[in-house]
Amino acid sequence: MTLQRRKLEQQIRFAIDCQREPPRAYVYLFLIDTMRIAGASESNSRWLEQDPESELFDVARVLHMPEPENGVRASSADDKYSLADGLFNRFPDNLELLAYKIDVRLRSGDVQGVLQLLSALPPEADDDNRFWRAKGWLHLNRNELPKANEALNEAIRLFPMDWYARNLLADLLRKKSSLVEAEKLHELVQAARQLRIQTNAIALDAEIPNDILTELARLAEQCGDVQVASALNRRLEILNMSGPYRNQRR
Amino acid sequence: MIKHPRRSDISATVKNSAIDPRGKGFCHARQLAGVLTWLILLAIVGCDSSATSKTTGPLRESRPLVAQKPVVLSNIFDLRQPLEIENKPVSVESPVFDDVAQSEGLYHTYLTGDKKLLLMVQPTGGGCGWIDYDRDGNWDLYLNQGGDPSLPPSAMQPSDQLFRNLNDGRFHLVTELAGIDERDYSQGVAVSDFDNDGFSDILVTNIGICTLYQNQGDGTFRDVSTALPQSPGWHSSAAWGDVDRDGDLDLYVCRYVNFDTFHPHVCLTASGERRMCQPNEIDPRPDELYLNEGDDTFRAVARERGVFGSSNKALGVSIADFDNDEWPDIYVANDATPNFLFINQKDGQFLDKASELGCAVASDGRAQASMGIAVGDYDHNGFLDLYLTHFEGEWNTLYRNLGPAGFTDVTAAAAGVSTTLSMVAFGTVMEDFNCDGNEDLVIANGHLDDPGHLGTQLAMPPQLFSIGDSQITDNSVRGGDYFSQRFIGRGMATADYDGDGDLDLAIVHQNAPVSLLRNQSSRGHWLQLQFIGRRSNRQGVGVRVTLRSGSYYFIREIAGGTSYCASHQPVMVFGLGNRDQPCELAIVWPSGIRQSIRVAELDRIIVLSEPADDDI
Repeated sequence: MTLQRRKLEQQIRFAIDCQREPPRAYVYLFLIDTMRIAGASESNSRWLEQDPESELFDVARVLHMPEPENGVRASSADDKYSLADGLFNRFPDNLELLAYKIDVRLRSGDVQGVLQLLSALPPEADDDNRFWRAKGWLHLNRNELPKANEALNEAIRLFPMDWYARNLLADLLRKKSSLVEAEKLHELVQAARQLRIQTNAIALDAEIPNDILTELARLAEQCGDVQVASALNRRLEILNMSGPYRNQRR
Repeated sequence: MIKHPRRSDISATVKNSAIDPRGKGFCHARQLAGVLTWLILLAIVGCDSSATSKTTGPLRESRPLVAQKPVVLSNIFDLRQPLEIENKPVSVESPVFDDVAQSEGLYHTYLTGDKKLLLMVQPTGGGCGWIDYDRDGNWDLYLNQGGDPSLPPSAMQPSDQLFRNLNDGRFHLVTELAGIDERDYSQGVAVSDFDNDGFSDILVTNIGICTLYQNQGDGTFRDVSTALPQSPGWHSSAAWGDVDRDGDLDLYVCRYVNFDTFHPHVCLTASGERRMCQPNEIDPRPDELYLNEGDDTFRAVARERGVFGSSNKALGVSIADFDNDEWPDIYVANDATPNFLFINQKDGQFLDKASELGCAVASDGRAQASMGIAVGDYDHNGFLDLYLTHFEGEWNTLYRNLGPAGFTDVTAAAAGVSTTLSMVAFGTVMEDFNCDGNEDLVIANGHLDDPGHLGTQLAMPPQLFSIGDSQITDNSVRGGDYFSQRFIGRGMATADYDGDGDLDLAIVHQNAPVSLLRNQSSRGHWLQLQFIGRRSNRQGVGVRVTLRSGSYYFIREIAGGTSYCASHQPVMVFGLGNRDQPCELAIVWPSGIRQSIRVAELDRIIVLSEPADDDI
């Protein structure tokens, strides 16, 4: 809700270690880079009224707003982009705003814009896969392949389920004529993209279907996220059982 | 700049001449250029980082570009490796066009029918095809027509039109005289000489059954549609190409989705009002590949030859040799599903390698809503690149062909993303319209549905880009009045209709008159090549030419299909800029026959006949 990304990931992984994670936690983890919750902008607006100076609520209020239709920017001064720009002037070191601004520039292919934003990152960004991924994209577009490789692998090390970094890595592998490896990554990316569509369609109060969890486990395994893969497989094993034994194991 | 000549038909001077590799002088010049480039890049990157950096952590460092080691060209016929890239733009001038359709007597409007029908087929149609049907050397124009898609074809429906080019600045309507009576709800055109009799034939893609008109050689056509084993349905673009290299042209037809206009699938808004269906709501309809049996009949072979893939919703197609193995491949533009690149296995079979080679989806991993295709070697590395047009919110994608390493989406690096995000783009061509040595792109735009609620308009301005030094420059404001207007643009095809050596454009708009853009550009030196196949197909579809002028290399191929629902004159125009020295041509015919030619005199049209055997 308030886009405290790092805390969210830490709490989910802690809950997994304690075997107290709800199935939905895996969906949140998988969607952590892109998740926008319906109604969250309004909730943050209400919280902001109670704490008008809150950077946390103000940023979350804007970033949870829906994107312009088809990604086409409206000319209105109160559209999401303009509001985010205004907030960025006040909070230039806010990682969520930076990640969003970089993402907007990345989507519009603005190499120079991404370069400028990456050049002005605060030190905390070094532990965030999104910025390493953007750095990889930048190097890739400047044909600096070793640097791109380094940055993308760092993004994946920081967040193993970063499938978008893998998508860029597939492009890099093609440039190095490693077509078979590129094809494997491409298949993983397409599976992840499909899964993202499916998970985004799950209502907030709905139970997560087992087949989605199975796919998430498979993806985590392919991405080398051992913690998530093994925990999910364990949970699936329980979920697939029936009757009293299922309750007992739980 | 050079004064435009009018029509000429000059035979080539053919000399058997080997083409030398580069000399030492070039190497020295290149080394010097490399040092200078390095210094400039250091300066640029230094400025960037010093201006904006806050700290010096690992994410914030910035290094100069790494120069790619060029591949040395040893033989002009060695097509397997990328050519060394040396070219720099010699002119940054924009091509300029005048819309002369009305003054030249070209009156035609593609009609989509009552908009209230909200049928999915209505926003997609409107193609055109250039054809010299009477072989008088003047390129005539076939134009599709829509009508009422809810009614079957009948005399009450408007017909497609054929305009004859009289070569006196006028086009004359000859539809009836030519025996054309095409009253289906048409989408596109694919022109070629499928029976190799020297007279071009016409395939019309329809909502229903495609119509195949065989040119009788006497100024009339005969409907031979039964030669194609086909079922009624939605047909969009089509492409001719000799995929089995047996000397006659085969046919690929895009079939988009299963949508019956007489019993339409009904799609509703959340409030229960009827709306136009989206492609993801309708089942795909797999494309078909028809092999030419050589006896005026065709055989449908897509499945047995491996020319199929899942979620095939095709709107565009191009047949060309994308991997430089001299066998034609098939690139298919799918709407909102991954695109296909069927690589010819040389044994009659094809394999879809689009995902492996990096041209199935864009750089963000997303399958885009692909519509039109432009093909050309914009980076002069000897491999054909792709430009794909897309829906609003998606950029038109420039896939650079790296050769053995496959394709890479370079749109962002080429600064080509933001200029197309707000457009719904269809027809497109990549040609060097002002002959400055750099490829240009023309794009027909126009929305599908009334997007008023989004604050955008149904009609959109067409665009003109130039690609120089691997950067896309928007030249729309310099391209002439046409580019300042708004249309619902669809099909677009090139031809040198006025015979002055450069390429002109026909562009079809929905519910607005067709445009004929006469190329009025100031241009550099040029060379136009036309082809007469002997063992190969008559019009030379699939011919590949490598031109060398000093250290300048350029390849072109007569590709099948491309653009959207349109058909071009099978001709090549090389732009040479200010290079005025004699040049050498290496021609590879679809039959495999090689031909080498030295051209001493530029700025002319050369008609090349296929030799009986290698001539190098």
